Amino acid sequence: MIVWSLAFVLTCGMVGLVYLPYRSAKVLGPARRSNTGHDKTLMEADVEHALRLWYCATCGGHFERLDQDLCSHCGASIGDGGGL
Amino acid sequence: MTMALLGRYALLLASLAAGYTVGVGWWTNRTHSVSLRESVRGAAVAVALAMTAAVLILEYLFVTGDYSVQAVYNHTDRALPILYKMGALWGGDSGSVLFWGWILSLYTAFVAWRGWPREGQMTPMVVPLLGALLVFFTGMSNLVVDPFRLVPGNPTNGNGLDPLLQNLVMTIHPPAMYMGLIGMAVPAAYILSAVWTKVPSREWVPVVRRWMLFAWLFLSVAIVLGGMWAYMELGWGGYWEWDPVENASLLPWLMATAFLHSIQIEEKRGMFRWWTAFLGVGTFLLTLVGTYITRSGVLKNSVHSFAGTGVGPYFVTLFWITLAVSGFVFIQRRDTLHDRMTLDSTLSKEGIYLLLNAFLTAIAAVVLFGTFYPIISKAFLGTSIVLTVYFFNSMTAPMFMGLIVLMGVAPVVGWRSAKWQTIAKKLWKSWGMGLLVGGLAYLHGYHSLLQFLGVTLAVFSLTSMAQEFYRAARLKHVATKAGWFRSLGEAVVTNRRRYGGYLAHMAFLIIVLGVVGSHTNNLSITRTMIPGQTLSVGGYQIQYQGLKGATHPGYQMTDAQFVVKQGRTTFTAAPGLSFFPGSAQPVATVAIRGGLMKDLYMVLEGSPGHNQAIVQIFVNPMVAWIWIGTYILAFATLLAMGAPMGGDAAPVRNWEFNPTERTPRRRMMPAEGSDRA
Repeated sequence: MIVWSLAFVLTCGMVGLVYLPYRSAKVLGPARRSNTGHDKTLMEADVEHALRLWYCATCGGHFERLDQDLCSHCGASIGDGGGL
Repeated sequence: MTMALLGRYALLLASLAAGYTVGVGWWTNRTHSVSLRESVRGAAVAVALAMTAAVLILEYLFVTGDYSVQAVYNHTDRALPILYKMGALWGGDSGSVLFWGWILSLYTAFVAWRGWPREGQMTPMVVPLLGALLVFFTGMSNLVVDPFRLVPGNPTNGNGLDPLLQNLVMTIHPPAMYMGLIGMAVPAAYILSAVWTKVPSREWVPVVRRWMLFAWLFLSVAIVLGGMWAYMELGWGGYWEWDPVENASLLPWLMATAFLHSIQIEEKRGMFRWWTAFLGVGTFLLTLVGTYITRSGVLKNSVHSFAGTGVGPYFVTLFWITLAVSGFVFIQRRDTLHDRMTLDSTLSKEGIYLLLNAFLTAIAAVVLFGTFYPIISKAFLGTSIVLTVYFFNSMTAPMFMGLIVLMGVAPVVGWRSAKWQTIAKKLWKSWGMGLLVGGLAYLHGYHSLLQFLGVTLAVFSLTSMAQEFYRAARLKHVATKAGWFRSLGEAVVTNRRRYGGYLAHMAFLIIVLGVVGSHTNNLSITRTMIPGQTLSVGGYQIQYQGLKGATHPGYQMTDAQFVVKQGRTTFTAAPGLSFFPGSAQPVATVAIRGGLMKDLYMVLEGSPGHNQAIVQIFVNPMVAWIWIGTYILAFATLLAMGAPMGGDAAPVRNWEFNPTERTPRRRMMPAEGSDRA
């Protein structure tokens, strides 16, 4: 009897795990957004990421824009060696 | 309905749910149905639930001793301690395949549950790919190696577990090995999905790197635990013999190590793209090759006692299918695998990593060739030739030396290009230290070229790594005026990925020193001793006291009693022989007195009678360094994995925005992880 009960519980659990998410599906993550909005958000995240992970080789200061030629902290020319 | 039948039912449900993740998952990728996608997520968790139920039921049968089940009958008996009864799950093929599938189901459930929202573009394809593997494993358990198969009659006791497997290390080694090997399926699935769906590398690289690091950690620990087991249990005084089964685990480790380095170049410079993807998938393919070697019994020269139960051909089929699918994906998406950047100079960090990859791949190729040489020679020469340890050592040692040099040089070499003069300036102290210690080692018996170079180069690289820690601590100390230890701790914690990596390299170098040391100045003698006799070996005064018998549950043991003096320290040692019913050969119980610089290793070979003992005594230097290095390696890997996920992501490079630009105009330095170099 215990074994039958366990088999029943296992079957119900399996069916529930497959069927209930199907019934109560909600859109998760990026799919909720429109394609344009999604791309824009991704691009902004990319730029933020780049600014956070790259830095001046002379003073270690972070950049504020991707297109800057001088470090805003020490004034080193980024296009001219920058202390590499 | 019996518990065994319930186990079969759970396996059947697992198969059905796995099939659902593949079929419906594939359909979801075409239709983008949100409801079905969520249902596939649930199905992936359902597979894990059913597999967990099957494993728990089999464990219940092992522990309660239901000998009507073949797996229980074949691998346990009444006298077996409960820990080994539970460990008997992976004692045979049927339990191993079930256990393997269970771990994969847990990984898949984790990917589906946690990864889906975050890795939205890749996971809908990763889950069906892993689901296909689950179909394979659950199918094997249902149709080929049924762990719940019954034996005729109603036996009241079983055959017992192989005595050699009755060791604590052996209860940890196989699960760690399976966690590592099958864990490599996850990065491979991510790579194939990312390449197929054209997901930018900056999205898949951090995810794949972390999964591979996780699997690599388990595989590294498992390989060393296997060596530890051989050292403690087999009684031949060594830990590595280039046995086919050992090589089977080393092959994916070498490829995964190459991958973990190659992916950094992909991450930082957008280079080695196809090579990185190939290594990631190739690592998983090599785990299948390894499984075939281990489980098929195709190579007869292995000391490991895996009996061929016919699972080998199925793994070969899986290998070819995976290879074909991967090849198709790579060919179809070859346009996405082009490098964005080219190698500016060989003398650069990228060049060093390229060389490092070449060495690791070459070592893997040599090991693969040497392992399969008995089959190759049989096919082409008509006779099966087994290559000895000499072949593997002489072929791989020079390449390992090259790797060690690169490990020491890489930290001081800059991205894109570097100058010899700058490198020499930064490394002269390390070379000096290496030569100094190498010279001292030469005076202490490290006379062969490999021994001398091994110590010199390892110390050189260790010093180079230590300098990196010193530089980091010094910068922090100067900036914050904090104490040196605090500065070092802060520098490491704020850049866990970089310094975790360096620490892992240092751990590897400590292992290298242990390997070189254990093959230098080692002693081995065999003597027949009478009670009261004293022997002097390698600084130990060993006095034999006599034999002593003892009965343990399930086996009888005969110990040889020794009193050993080492300087002012006195201790006892009792190597023995265990006699298991049903086992023709007695099993040696090795007595090891471990130390930092040397181990006393004693094996009782037998007794000619009259209370005499034939004993083999080894003095093995520096074996402990291998185990210590492994502990540090595990800690370092965890440290590197502990870097925050956000900062772990690939830095977006300006050439990502302008693909036609060959080199970046601005010269910015990439930060390692979330921090500055």
